[in-house]
Amino acid sequence: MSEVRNFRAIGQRVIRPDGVDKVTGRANFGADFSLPGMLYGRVLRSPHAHARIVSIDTKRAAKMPGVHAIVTGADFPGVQSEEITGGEGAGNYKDLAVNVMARDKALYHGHAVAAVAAASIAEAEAALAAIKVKYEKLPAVMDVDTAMADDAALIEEDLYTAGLPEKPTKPSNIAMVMELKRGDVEVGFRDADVVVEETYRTPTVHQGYIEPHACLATINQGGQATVWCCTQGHFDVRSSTSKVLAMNVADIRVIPSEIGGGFGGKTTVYIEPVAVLLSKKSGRPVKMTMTREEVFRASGPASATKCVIKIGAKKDGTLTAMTAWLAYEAGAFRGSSLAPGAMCIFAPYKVDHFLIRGFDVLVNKPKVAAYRAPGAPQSMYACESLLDELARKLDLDPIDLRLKNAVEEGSQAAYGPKFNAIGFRECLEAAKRHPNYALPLGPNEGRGVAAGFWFNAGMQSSAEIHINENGTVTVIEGNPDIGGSRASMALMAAEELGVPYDRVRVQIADTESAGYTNVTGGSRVTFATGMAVIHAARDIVGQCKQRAAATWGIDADMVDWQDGHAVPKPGVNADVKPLSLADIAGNAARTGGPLLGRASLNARGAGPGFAVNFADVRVDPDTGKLDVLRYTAIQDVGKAIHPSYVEGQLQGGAAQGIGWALNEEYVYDANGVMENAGFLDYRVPVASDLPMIDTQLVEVPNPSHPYGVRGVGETPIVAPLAVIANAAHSATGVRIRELPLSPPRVLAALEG
Amino acid sequence: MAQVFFPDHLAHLTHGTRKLVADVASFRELLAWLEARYPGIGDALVGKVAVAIDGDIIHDPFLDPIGSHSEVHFLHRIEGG
Repeated sequence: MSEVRNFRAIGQRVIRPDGVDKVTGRANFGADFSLPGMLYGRVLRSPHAHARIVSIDTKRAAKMPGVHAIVTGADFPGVQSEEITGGEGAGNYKDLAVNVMARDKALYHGHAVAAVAAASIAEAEAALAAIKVKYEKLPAVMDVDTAMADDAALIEEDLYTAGLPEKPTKPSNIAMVMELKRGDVEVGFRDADVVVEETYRTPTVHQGYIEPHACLATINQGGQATVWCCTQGHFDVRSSTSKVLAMNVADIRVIPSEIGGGFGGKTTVYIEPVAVLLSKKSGRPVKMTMTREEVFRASGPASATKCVIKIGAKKDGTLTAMTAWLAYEAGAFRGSSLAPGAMCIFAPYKVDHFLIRGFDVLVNKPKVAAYRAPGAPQSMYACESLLDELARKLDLDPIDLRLKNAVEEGSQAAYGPKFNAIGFRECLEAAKRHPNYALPLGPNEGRGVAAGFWFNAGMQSSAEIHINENGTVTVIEGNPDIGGSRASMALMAAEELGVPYDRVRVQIADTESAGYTNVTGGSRVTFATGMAVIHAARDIVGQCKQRAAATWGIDADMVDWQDGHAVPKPGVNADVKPLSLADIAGNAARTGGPLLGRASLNARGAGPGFAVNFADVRVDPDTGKLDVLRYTAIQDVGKAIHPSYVEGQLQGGAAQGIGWALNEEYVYDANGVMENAGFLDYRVPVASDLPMIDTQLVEVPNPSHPYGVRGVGETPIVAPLAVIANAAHSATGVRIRELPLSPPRVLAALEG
Repeated sequence: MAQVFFPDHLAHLTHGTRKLVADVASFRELLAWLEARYPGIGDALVGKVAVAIDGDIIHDPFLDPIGSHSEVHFLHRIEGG
């Protein structure tokens, strides 16, 4: 399907159309919307990590000045158990409803137990303080070891482990067991010259998006709601809100704002149904914004994990067997990103014998949400770290070890199907040749290498293209623009229509104005929605050829489209001059009416993404602080529509992964209370912490896309965790198998 | 004949069989073919798992063609972040 062609627009580094408004502060984000008579909603949250809610008394709070409405779990409708048909970790609508507002139990510190709408934030917060909640404290279960123990306190009393041959006889905190295998690992380990096995741990981390969750909701007397919010998927906000509140989706209109980061964390709802219900109860519009503290405590972080990996290999580096035991924290409700973590872990390698066993485990923490390549950074950190340890044992260059075993087109992926065209080997070879890989290292410095993998997603997208009367182009689609997708959509429309980029405008439309479109996530937008834009543009071209043919009085199949003009095919005996898009649009009334192209699709063949990253770090032996000196990210991107934004994805993913490796973690006290719920104590890397991230784009076209596009947004965060861990080992001579590699942990390891 | 693969977590749907051979031309036909042999299997598959046909992962397949030499794999649905 991918076409070899010379592109005019694709590959240009144009200015993004939303850029000026965003850097000058004009763009409207989630908290920027207001309506007359608007109230402010605030949420009362559990001070306990695990407690039975004995009673909630709101009588005094309801009489306080400025208070218009109070809701608790009792005000929400009962929600039937129904699986959410998303991807990994989507969970169940019943759980989602209870996560939005607790019913009989508070399941994590920060779990919502009541909400108030008042005339001012101060009045709302005063009312929260007047609500009396009587709790019966229960033991807090805060890690997989405790949760999986036979005598563990149960978070959900009637949870029976799924995925076993027989239903267990008693409930547990293990929501699901999964297994992937091939061959016989006993045979594989017997054939090995060297066998290594280690345990690795990663902490709970947050996506760290800069914009907190925010929304404005209003519902009229006819029961029709409008919600403005920052989200990665307004159609998902609509469906989730409808389920939580038992409303018809047709009665909910969701208008997406600009979005200040999401990284997977804005693919579900927390406050939107609460705001709608408060609006319904008060008869006023209600605005809600989370504080940063609430974002940390009560949105969806990424799973903490424990991974035990075992690898057998021949002396020449050939892998003979691999096993993985993976335990992923799901938070207080089932549905972690275990499955993709398990499916990714051995995906880059050919190995005849492997066994992966994984556990989805409940703990008294917020329900995890997607975070950029959900599940893959944790499991691949463990595997890529152990491969580094194996390379040292075998005295092999870590890139050579990976080249020896790298999957290629036709290889059977560990998760099932055979790979089509992929660029893992090309990335490894590019890394080996890269000048940064040959730079000398100084004292206390070390270099680390690791690979990354992500499937990428297709799914449903829609696009419309309107040709205005002067030949300019309006693209209407339904994916909030997080990473520059307006520019990419405009480039693809310009390419197909043969018009300059600056003639194209892109609108992100609401749920009543755009065709159904899945979330901005899964690295799917440029691939899937881009494909819809391409098809919509081809629809326009087809119509233009028909209009030109009608104008000239010839058959439509005798018309070509070249450089934005309808032209007669060679040999056509007609004395006509080419018609531009503007000519045809200007004459549209006479040839059939306005030009409107459209496409909707369920995209298949997203094309997996492979990356190879390496970095140099220096350790301060007196403090344990690690500094990243150089970082090089190499990735197969298929075809870069806008190279600068693709490079930006590689750089952003590297920066987030470095933060995960070096400093980021939820720190809990003995009672399950997060102690560092703010950016001062939860330390994401800032610009001064990092060097310029060097990037190299490898382009192995995806055969399932007209231009060869494959998703690029998630793969970049997968490799950095192991890259930094491996570099730290190289610099210090000490292997630390638990993240983050914060100065105290590194110093303790150095001091033995 | 297309080869159809079930991973461990779905093999109970086919009474433990992990590889089947089916003479079908589309996923719609494959579903009917499976349902005839394993009544009720459709409810456990449709909307709950993804499918890879010749390496292309698809959520919610139905009309997608399957060739005589195709490989069809059922797998967990992946959405991403």
